[in-house]
Amino acid sequence: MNRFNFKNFFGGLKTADKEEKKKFIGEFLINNSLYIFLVLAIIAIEIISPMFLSMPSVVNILSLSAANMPIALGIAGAIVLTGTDLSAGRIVGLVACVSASLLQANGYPNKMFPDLPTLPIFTVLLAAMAIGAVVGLVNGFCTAKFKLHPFIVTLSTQLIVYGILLMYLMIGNNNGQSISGLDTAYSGFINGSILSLGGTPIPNFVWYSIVIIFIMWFIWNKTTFGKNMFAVGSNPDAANVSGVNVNRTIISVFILAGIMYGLTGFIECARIGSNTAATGLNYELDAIAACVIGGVSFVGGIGKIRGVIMGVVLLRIIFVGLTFLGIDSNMQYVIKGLIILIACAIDMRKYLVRK
Amino acid sequence: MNKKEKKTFDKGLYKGASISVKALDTIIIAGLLILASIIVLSALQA
Repeated sequence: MNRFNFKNFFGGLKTADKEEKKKFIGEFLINNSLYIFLVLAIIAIEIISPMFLSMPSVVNILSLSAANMPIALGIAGAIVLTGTDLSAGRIVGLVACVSASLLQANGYPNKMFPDLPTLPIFTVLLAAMAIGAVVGLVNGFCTAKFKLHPFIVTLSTQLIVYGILLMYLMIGNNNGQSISGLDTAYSGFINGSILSLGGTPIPNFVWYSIVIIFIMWFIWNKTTFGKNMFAVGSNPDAANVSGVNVNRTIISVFILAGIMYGLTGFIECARIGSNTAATGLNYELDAIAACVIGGVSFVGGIGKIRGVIMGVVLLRIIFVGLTFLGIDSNMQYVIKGLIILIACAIDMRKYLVRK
Repeated sequence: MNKKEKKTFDKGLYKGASISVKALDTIIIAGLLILASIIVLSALQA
């Protein structure tokens, strides 16, 4: 989807005659219709429920967006390669449960591994990233070497990871129960706060997400790997002829995405506090929706970090708003599905008009 | 550009799909109207 661009919009209007102006405005409105709709919905919700954009609510929206940001940034890479990643949510769940089991407080009655001392936070962080990277490597290797569609590959790994997660939850004293009783140092590292906004503390993981955004922006825009990713997504044959190692690029994109899921799992673990097999369920769908809303095209080779950020935040605002209106959570799935469908239709339309 | 003419996608996740711009416009507008109706009706019911 196109981002709202004032410069292009008013620049285009100045140079066009009356008939062209009408056509231009029409095209602009339909290309940005979902954004316009979402902004109008946010204004309407704020009028109906004035607490919606109060400071605690804004910090809540910010926190929820930050928690989902790394997974969306990871999936965006897979979408740029004309693929997708259905295993993301389950990787988040597995990493969250593994992190929780390794960072339970000493002396907690239901500790999963009673004889294991609480590990250093950074060791577990590295383990979380490594788990994500390994699954990402499998996804990328099967996609690149066997020329399988990422949809099939990641559907398989989704089930494999879920099976491993269920087996993991049966290990030790746990017997399939939720894992809680996290070490206070870990909870403080993620949920603690060093800054408040209007008296509402901003959790630390918001800052971690901002750092992750900067790193991803750098990788996408300032490295050869980032440029190769867009080249492969746009036209793999042309990229190959130009000397880009297509297979290595695909594998690297999936490994990077896996690391992002690992980071999401590590953050979610402490944010939720009590982790079960359901942790991370359907997270990939929210992330895919955010990417499509943010202009990462399924046609391939198109997408920007700022678009992903905008997609994640807009989607979160609208769903917090729907909760404010008291709309049934089941109905929110229907709304989410419709938003994805409309975003895809706009994405397809833009490609056809260009063609 | 003929909006009614069907065009086929030759790349990406939509590869093979054949649809016209006019049909996509209908999907977008109808989708937004359905979305708006669902939100308004659900909010009134809540």
